[in-house]
Amino acid sequence: MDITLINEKIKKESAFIDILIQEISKVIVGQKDMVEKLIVGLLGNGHILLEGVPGLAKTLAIKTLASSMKAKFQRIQFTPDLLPADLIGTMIYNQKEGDFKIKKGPIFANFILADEINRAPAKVQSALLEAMQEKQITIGDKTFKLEEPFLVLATQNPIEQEGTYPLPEAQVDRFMLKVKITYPSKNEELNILRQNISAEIPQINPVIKAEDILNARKVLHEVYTDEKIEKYILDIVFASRNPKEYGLDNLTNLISYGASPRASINLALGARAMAFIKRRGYVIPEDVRGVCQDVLRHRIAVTYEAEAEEITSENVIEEILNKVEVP
Amino acid sequence: MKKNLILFFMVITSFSSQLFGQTISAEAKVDSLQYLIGDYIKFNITAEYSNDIKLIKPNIIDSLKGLEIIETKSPQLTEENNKSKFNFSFVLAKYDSGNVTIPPINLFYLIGNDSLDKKILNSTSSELLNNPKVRMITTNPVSFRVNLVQVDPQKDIKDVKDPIKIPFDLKELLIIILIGLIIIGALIYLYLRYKKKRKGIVEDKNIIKLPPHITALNNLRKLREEGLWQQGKIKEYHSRITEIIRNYFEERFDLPALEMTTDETIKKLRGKRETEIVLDLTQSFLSNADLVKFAKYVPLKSLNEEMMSQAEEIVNKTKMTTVTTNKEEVNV
Repeated sequence: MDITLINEKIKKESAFIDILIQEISKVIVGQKDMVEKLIVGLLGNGHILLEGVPGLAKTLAIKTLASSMKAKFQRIQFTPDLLPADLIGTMIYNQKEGDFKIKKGPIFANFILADEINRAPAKVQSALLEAMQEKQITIGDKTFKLEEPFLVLATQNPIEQEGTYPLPEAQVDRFMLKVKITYPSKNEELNILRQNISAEIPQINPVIKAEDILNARKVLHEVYTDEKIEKYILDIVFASRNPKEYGLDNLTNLISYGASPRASINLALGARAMAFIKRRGYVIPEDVRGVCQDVLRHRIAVTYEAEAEEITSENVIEEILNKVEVP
Repeated sequence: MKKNLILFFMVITSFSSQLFGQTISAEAKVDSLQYLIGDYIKFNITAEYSNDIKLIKPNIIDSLKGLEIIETKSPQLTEENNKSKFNFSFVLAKYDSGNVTIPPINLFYLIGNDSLDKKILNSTSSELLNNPKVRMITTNPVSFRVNLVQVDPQKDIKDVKDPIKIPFDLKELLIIILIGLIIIGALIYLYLRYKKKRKGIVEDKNIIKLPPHITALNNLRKLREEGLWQQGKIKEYHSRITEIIRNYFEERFDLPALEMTTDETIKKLRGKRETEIVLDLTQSFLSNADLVKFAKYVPLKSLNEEMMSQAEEIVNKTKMTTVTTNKEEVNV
């Protein structure tokens, strides 16, 4: 298809993005990047892990995103005593009829907010992450397909790690993006303050339907990704695995293991979604860089030496981006 | 009858040579009967035997329990008057006082035509005992006494001995001096080589250093001459032209433009006084190139030509006003 036609189509199909962002910004002040990444996850059919200190509107942002769509939303507070059955559902004995009936758990929704995911034990995390991957649930001998769109937005805070169950690397890899939320600017915080002490509480209205998202996902496949962009993505991912080959000798001892092929896939998908949000029919290097940190930060593990020098995976990604040549 | 008598005498004669021809004797002894704790005890086993006897090397370690074997000397064999004498010498030590008895030690041997094959040589003492071909002789037991060092408690405690003075060795000193001289020589050689190499690098730098705008203009001229877009290689043309300009920005403004996206490059150039006049031009130049490079956009012929003139304009308007070269003049 001609690029002009693709551009036109994308512009038309992505019109709802502006409306969605506008609706969310009624409640969420600032955090433009976080909102953008939530939409990237939504379009890219990938789950999102939000990390930030308490009070940065992680939960509110997800609730607002869900409220702005006509879709089923469920919030699950992860606690140490949570059981897999509390999440996916269980078989309940019906005394009247003398048989077992299936009671579906809260996971049967379009948007799941897994609040403080690291507070629940590994078996509950596994149950959720399995559902995320397979997009189906088995209770007893029956398997249920989860309704599309199915998006898990998990939150965790980096402080108060005592008594928590950190997500294993293999399971973190299932999240398309790991978004880190930082403090708002002074002006933004002033707006937050004013908004919260005023008598008027902004109301969120559902502005889009689940079908809009599903349609957008189909159109997303038409966003053109040039070979040069694909090569650029691979260069970034491979530099995390073999830094020496890219003249990043200083990273050799700092990276324990590099990004997986899932990272390449998600980087390409994320870049397409970014292009879609920017209402463009083709991917440019800016789109790749725009999602690079969020796609890679939980997929590159740093060594103990790096940790001792307070070097994070973000620093490593920054170094890679500064070294890999942009096409 | 006469024939039978001759046969009887022949058998007797042959047996008597077997019975009385082979002689073997074994003796064990130590060099003293009294030792002090830790003294070296020289222990000897001597076996004398006729030449038709083949002696198997004894394994005496098990018999010397409680004694430390300091040294096992290689066995010595001497032959004299159709007789062999085998001598096994050991240096032992005992670190406990008391009476010590080394028990009789078994020496195994073969007679006549039986040969010492591998199987026999690798056999243990108990296997040799059960072998009908193998015969055995034992040594006498050896007893001696190990005494404690007599200390007179009435006398003063002796001081620690002074360190032993090693005699001056001229040969050793010469070797040390020689090694020292070799190391110094190697260090001087490496230093001179490094100095020479550095000098070479500096000289090279003087020759190849060109101002960034000259390099960029030269590369643009080469690209024009190649006629890439005329051959249909439009994407390659746009990639090359932006690469030349990004390279120019790297050298001219010391910013990593090759590793930066269009937006990042513009953002960085925005803060520079020299680039103010070409900022919009650069943005449109890079964005147009991005369209061709990443969006399958096929530009008009005029745009391809315009890209070249835009690139030259960017370079010319931002070039350094004074050009200094280190040694050689550069032809522009």
